[in-house]
Amino acid sequence: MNVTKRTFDAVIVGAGGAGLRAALQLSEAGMRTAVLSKVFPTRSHTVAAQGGVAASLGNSTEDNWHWHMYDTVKGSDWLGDQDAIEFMCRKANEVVIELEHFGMPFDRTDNGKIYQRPFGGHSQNYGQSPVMRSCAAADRTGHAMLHALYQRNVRANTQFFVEWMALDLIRNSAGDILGVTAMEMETGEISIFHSRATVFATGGAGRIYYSSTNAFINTGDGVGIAARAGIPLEDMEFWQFHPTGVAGAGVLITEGVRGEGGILRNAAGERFMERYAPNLKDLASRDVVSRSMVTEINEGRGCGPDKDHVMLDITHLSPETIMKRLPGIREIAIQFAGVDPIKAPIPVVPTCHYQMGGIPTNYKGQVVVPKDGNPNSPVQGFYAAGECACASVHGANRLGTNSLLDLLVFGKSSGETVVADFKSGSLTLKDLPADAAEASLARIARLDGQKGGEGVHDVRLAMQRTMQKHAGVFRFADLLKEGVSKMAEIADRSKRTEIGDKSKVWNTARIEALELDNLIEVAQATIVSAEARKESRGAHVRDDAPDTAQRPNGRDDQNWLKHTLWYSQGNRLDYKPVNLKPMSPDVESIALAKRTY
Amino acid sequence: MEAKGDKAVINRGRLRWHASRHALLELDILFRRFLDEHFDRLDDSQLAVLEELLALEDLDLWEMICGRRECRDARWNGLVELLRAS
Ligand SMILES: Cc1cc2nc3c(=O)[nH]c(=O)nc-3n(C[C@H](O)[C@H](O)[C@H](O)COP(=O)(O)OP(=O)(O)OC[C@H]3O[C@@H](n4cnc5c(N)ncnc54)[C@H](O)[C@@H]3O)c2cc1C
Repeated sequence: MNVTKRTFDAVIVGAGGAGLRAALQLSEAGMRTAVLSKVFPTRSHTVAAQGGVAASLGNSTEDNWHWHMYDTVKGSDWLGDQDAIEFMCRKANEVVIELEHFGMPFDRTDNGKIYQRPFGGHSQNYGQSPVMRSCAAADRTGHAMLHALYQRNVRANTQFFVEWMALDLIRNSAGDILGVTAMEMETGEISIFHSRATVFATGGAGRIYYSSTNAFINTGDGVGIAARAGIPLEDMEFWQFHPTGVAGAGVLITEGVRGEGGILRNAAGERFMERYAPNLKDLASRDVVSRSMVTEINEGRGCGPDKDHVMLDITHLSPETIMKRLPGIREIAIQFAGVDPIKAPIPVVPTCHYQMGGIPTNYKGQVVVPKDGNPNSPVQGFYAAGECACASVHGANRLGTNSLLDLLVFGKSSGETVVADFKSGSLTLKDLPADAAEASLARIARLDGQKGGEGVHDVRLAMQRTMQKHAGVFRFADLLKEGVSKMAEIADRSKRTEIGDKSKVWNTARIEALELDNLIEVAQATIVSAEARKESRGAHVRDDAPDTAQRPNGRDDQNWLKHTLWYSQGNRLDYKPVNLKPMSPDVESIALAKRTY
Repeated sequence: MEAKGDKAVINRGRLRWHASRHALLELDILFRRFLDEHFDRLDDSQLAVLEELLALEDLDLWEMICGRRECRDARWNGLVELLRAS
C-alpha cells in the first residue's frame, strides 16, 4: 500500500480540551502543528462536561490553592503525586482566567466576577466546610470551553486533520517517538505523520465497561496505542463509577437529583441508604452510594426480572419541582428508561464514568517510563495530557471538576514543554525507520484477510460484560482472578476479528475493529492491575480488604503506596513509588491519613 | 452514472460515521437505533436533512429531540420525530 508522509514540528492526537489547549501553545509559538481528531473538534467528549472547572479563585467564598491541594491529595487517597497536584492547583487560577480572556462565557457574580458553586469533595480549611470552587458556564461548561479553545486555535493557524484516526506510534530503536501512523476515514489511506514532538490527548476509555456514561468515541485509542508501542500504563485499576447511570443505557443522572430529594430504593421499596449511611443517606459520597447499591444487588434485593438494578425515586417531588429544578432528567428517563419519573421510579446502576490511570507523565506533560534505574525517565519526543494521561493528580479517585482543570493545566504545560524543547534545539526530526508504517499496515491486512473470524460487536460485548462483572465497583478476589483469564481469552479472540465490509471509504466497521484493539489493551491493563492490588484504595475496593483499625478503609500503605505499571508485552506488572513530595521546597507534604468525609 | 453512484455511496458512508459518533452518549444511543432501523431506507431529501441536523451542535440537537428547543426548519420535524421514537 502507498503510504504518504507528512512532516510537522508537532503532531497532536486529540482535539478535546487537552489537545486544543496544547495545540494553542504550540501554534502561538510558531510551530507547525497538526491536530488529528476522529470527529470535528467541537464534537469531542469534553462537550459532555456540565459541572464545571475547579479553581481557588475565592470569588464566592474564601479559598486558596493550599486547600485545593489538600482536597485533591485526600481525594486521590494519597496515590496522587504531590508535585503534580501542587502544580495543578497553583496553576488553576491562571488557566481559568486565561480561558475567560479567550471568550469563555462563565457565569458571573453581581459584581462581575466568575461565579463559583460548591462541588463534592472540595472544602475550605482542610476539610472543614464546603467551598465554592467550581466555575461554570450555565450547564454548557465543556461545550463553551471547547468552542473558546477551537476559535483561538483557528486564529493561531493550527492545522486540523478532522476525521483522521491515529493507529500506531512510530518508535526508533533508541525508543524515541517519531510520530504516528493515521488513517484518513474518507479514503481509508494510511499516512505517516513524522514529527519532532507527538502529544497524545485522546481522552478516556470508558467504553471498556458495559455500563458507561461515556459516549461511544471513548475507546482509549491513545492509551492502547501507547501500550502496543511498549509504554507501560499507570494505575489502570482505578476507575470512577457514578452511582446513577440509567440501567441498560448508562446515561448519567446528575447528583442534583438526589440533592433535590431523590431516594434510592431496593426491590422491597426500602430506602436502603439509611442502613449504609444513616446521616447523609442518599447524599453520601459517590463511592459509598455505589458500593451500597452493588451490595443490595449482590444480596438479591435488586429490582427487575434480573434483579440487576435499583430504583431512583422522585415520584414524591411535585411535577413543578421536577420540571423546574431538574430540567432534562424527565426526558432522559422517558427516552432511555421508558418511564416518566413523575409517575414511576428510574432504574439505575453504578456506571463507569472516569479513567484515573493512563499514560504515565510528569507535571510537564512528558511521558515517563522506568529506564536505567530512574522510574520516571522521559521518552524523547512523547508527551500526553488529559484523561488519557496519568500525571498523576487524581490518584485512586478524582474529584469532580478537577478533570476539566487537568485538561487546561496539563494541556498547557505539555505545550510549554514542547515549545521549550523546540527552542532549545533538543527536539530534532529523527530519521524514520524503514518499517515505520509496518505495524499498522499489518493490522489492517490481517483484518481484511481474516476468514471465519469473530464479530467485532460480539468480542466487544464479551469484554464489556466481563469487565462489568469482574472488575466493577466492588471487587472480589475470585471474580478478579477468573476475570483475568476470561479477558486473556477475549484478547485472543480480538486478534481474529472479521469485518464484512472491506471497502476503504468511510468504513465504520473497520474503524470499530481498530478501536476494539485499543479497548482490549485497556481492559487487560485494568483487570490485571486490579487483581494484583491486594488492598482497597479510592475507587478500587476489594471485599477481602475491608476497613479495620490497622488498615483504615482497607488501605495498606506499607505494601501498596505505589503506582502500578502494566506492560502489554508479556501482560506483566511493575511498580514505581508515589511522589509524596510537593514541587516547592517550602510546601509541606500532606501527611497520610484515613480518607473520611 | 457510475461516478454519481460512487458519490452517493461515499456520502452515505460519511453520514453514517457522523451519525455514529457524538459528544453525548444520549445521541449515540438514539442514532445507533436510528441507523439500524431507518438509515438504509432514507431517500436523498431525507439524507440532506440528516446532514443539516448533524451539522448542529450536539447539545442543540439533543434539546430539539427532547422538545425543549424548536426545530429551526420545519423540514427537520420528520427526522427529529423518528430520532425521538428510536
Ligand atoms: C457525562 C460526563 C460529564 C462530565 N462532567 C465533568 C465536569 O463537570 N467537570 C470535569 O472536570 N470533568 C467532567 N467529566 C470528565 C471530563 O469531561 C473528561 O475527563 C474530559 O473532557 C476529557 O477531555 P480530553 O481532552 O482528555 O479528551 P476528549 O474531550 O475525550 O477528547 C479526545 C479527543 O481525542 C480524539 N481522538 C481519540 N482517539 C483518536 C485517534 N485514534 N485518532 C485521532 N483522534 C483521536 C477525539 O476525536 C477527541 O477529539 C465528565 C465526563 C462525562 C462522561
